[in-house]
Amino acid sequence: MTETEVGYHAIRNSVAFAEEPELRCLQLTGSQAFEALDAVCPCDIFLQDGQMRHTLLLNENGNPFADVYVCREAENAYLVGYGSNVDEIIDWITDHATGITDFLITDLGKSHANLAFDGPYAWELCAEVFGTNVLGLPYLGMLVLDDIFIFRAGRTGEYGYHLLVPIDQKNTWIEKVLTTGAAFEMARANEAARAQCVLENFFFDINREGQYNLTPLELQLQWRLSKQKDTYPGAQAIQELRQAGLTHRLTCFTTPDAVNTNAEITYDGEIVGQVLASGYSPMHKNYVGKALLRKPYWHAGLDGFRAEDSPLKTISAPAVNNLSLNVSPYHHSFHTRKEELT
Amino acid sequence: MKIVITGLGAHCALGENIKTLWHAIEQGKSGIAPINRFNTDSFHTQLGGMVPSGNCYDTEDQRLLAYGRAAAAEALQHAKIVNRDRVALVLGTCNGLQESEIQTVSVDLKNALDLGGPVLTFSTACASSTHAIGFAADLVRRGVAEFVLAGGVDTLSIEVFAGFHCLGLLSKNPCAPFSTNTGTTLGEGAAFMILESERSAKKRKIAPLATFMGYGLSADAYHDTTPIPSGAGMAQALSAAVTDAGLTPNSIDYLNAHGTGTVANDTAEWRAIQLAFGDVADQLPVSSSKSFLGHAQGAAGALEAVVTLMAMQHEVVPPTINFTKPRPNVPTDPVAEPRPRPHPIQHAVSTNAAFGGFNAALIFGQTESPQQIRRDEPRPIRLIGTGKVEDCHKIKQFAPNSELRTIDKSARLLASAVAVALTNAGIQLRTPDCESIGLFVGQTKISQESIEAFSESVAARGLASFSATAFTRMACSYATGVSCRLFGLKGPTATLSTGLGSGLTALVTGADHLAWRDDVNSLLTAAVDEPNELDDYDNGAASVLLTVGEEPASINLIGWALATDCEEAIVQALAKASLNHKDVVPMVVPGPPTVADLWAVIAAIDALKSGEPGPFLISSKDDGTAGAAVILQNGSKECNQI
Amino acid sequence: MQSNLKEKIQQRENTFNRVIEMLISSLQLEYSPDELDADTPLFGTGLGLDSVDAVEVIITLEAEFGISLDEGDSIFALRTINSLVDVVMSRKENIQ
Repeated sequence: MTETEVGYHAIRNSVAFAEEPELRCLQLTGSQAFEALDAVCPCDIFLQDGQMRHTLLLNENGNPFADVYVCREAENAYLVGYGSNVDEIIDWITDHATGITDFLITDLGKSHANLAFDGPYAWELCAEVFGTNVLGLPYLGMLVLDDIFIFRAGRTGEYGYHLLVPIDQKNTWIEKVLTTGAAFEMARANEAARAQCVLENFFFDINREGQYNLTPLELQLQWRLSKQKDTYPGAQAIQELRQAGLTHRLTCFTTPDAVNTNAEITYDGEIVGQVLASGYSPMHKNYVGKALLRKPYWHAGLDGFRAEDSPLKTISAPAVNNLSLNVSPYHHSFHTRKEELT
Repeated sequence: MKIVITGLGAHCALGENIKTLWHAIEQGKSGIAPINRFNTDSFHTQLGGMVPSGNCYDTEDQRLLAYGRAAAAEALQHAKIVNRDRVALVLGTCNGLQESEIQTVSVDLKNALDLGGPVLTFSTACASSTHAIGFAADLVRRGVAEFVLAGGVDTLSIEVFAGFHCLGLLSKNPCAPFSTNTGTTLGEGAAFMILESERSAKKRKIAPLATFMGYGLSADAYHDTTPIPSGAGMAQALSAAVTDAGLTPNSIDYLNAHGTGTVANDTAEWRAIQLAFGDVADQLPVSSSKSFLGHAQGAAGALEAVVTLMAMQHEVVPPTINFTKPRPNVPTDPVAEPRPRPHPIQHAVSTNAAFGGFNAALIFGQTESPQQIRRDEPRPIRLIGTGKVEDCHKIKQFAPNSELRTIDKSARLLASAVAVALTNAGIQLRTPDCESIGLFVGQTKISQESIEAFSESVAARGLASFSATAFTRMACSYATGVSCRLFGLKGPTATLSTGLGSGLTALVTGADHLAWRDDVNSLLTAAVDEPNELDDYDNGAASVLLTVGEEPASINLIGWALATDCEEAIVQALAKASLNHKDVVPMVVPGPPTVADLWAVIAAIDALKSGEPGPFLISSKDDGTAGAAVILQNGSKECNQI
Repeated sequence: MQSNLKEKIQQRENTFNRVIEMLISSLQLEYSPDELDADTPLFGTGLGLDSVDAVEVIITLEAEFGISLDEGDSIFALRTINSLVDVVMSRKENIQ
């Protein structure tokens, strides 16, 4: 197996580990920390202690430039996710939080290293390495344990944890993770393995479809926007697009053969869309991808399309059934999985 | 003052008195059996912990009163109480989806037993009677009553059975807490205990059975039906109880868990025990009496407290029966044995958790356990925020629509009043400042909107498939739980009723709690009233934020009292404030019955702020339960005089 | 456009509309249909539904479409609005 295949297999069946320097993690402190986030984020900033909410950061055209979670832990706010770069995000928040001054943004990436764990048994490995408090963390929950920040959220459709450990402890933790991980058949997952999982689950990928100047409407991400807010950056562009009506939308598809990114998609010889991302899915045993399709071809469950020389059909997201849905920290264990899941 | 327990009574699936109950537990005999009272064919389980004699009543109301009466009479007799004039009743009940006001059963019980003291009803879903016992001890301490008959009663109706079934919480097999078989079995019954001061018991030459050591309350502020997975809420209640009892975790010898048998509860509860007790948790025997009795809803706390007290008497820990193999993340020692285990208990904890995220823990000690250290003087109390609300849409100013989905009208009203009061006091919602705040709510009935939605759903889809969401709102404490969840209030929380005076009773009870206890420094007291089609008044809610400590320009609560009737409450409140009747100005404001008194309190605060001299007296209206009175004064005036 | 494709699209749209109508009314969602994207996750993220809502969806599916999901099916049927539409389409021939 290639390195990517090994990582992919671990994500889907046991647990995979990755250092994730591309994860942005900002801490906002001060009495107006949440007001600042409220001014710049398109979602409702109504968070319980320890709660995370998935949203986007949008430019004035309504195009996402970062794929982020907003979080609350005690009096502090956090912004965790992918895209852009830390300095640009900090400047952008400062510029757009008009009239809001009592907050300070700290880049936790300077003091902490990020370790990511994904897989149906990620919870079990993390509990063994970092303590059983991890098990009490609900999906989209965060907690701070002795200077370690733990976020429970993944982008692979499996149990996922992002842990920020102090840089000086990084090697000690990695050593511990590798030692404990052996019993879990843990592997390191590279970016290609994780990106393939993102694709199969039809999760937003800022590095793929996020590069096409689309809005949350075409990206099927309206759920990441507040129903009530209308003053965040990009709100006006989205409002205008809603009024004008949508012409294209992102749809999940499968093909038996590899198709190139940007390949045209046709129906009866007529161009109806374009491939934005695709890759081989070992679980689906087909190529799975994301296409930007014209209305009304954008529905799932249609076949008869072609891309390059391959037949293409649209499907409902997600393309795979994740093992994690059948694994419960309350009932299962990696070590006894063979008896449990048969 | 040392509070002791001098009488016990129970009426449950394991028999009609404490003797038969304890005998069955000694034999390891479960009271769970197929239900024959109603038809269970359309459900996937037929089991319940039913009271054997329960089938001979025609209505749930009759059954409720009969169970309560039997258990209460036994406790009174056990404690050899002759003069019932001085007995208060504090009852915990959910009163299974009844449309009548929650205190109806308490008043019926008071009349049936000819009790002369005040009557309070606590309804915090499955923690109702746990709350009742904790507050009962305070009534004795405050001298509101010489004796308190405290406990709970609930019946298992087909609607409640169907509701839990619909939520997927019922087990096909008899419930086996902490074991691989998951899910709960419902039950019913009643249990009571008599609390009085040690001095009173001595005077009567009655040997106490145990000492009431302390209690702790908290709110999860997490979800309507699921406990917070980290166990943080229950851990807080446990720690508060241990502190209240003047103990440390290593002096606890046994914990009678809520242990419903559901995955969510059992795991969160064990985490809570680990959080609160640290390393001691692994050595602690933790068992669940629900394996014997099923989950008796609002009566569960009282029944399990009685089992705990009986176990202490017999120097054993009761087992968790039906246990096969442990689940992951459950107590290290679940006492998974067929018979009670010999084990002397100096101090025992009994915990309960409820829908809405209410947690409660009680601690009992052997009779020789010393008196807990209490403060000698009450802490001064001032009123720092008020919220008066008539429009349930007000809530939209404080929470996004996505958070308000499925929330009923009473919850919208109450949450609005709470948010207005917090904001009015300069407290930012959902911040750590909110976390330490408690919430006591006076509410007499379930939201009319939810009662209608539930009935419609049952009519349209039948009992086997009615709306699960509608069912979760069918509790008097629903609005309180929602308010905690929306604004992150995690302090001591309760929903109570004394009929018309409920709002003012919540305020007085809250004031007592703040003045004498250490677990909270700020508490919201509130009331909500949503009329039904027969009532000729409008929606209303009120909330008043109390906090401890003196400040120069504050509005102070200088007198407050809870008593058998209003007149007596006024006399006592005046005495506390060292004032005569002629010195105070009565304040009365029209409004929805249970809310009007708190609106009057708010009007008095506004009047004092605008320079009127006061002091103002607000008292409740008599309706056969209890009377409450408060006196408010502007602190600056007093300072000027000095 | 071929007529059989037109028909397929029409069927998909009809079913989708029925499904979101059902979701909006049974879960009291404050969304209008055009704010609900077809591939929106139902639980956790997306619409952010919880276990009580899941019970509601399963029961309503049975009441409105006569479709009963057993425990094994429901985990995967309830992932996104579209996966729910798939289930309805595979069990019901014609949705008007």
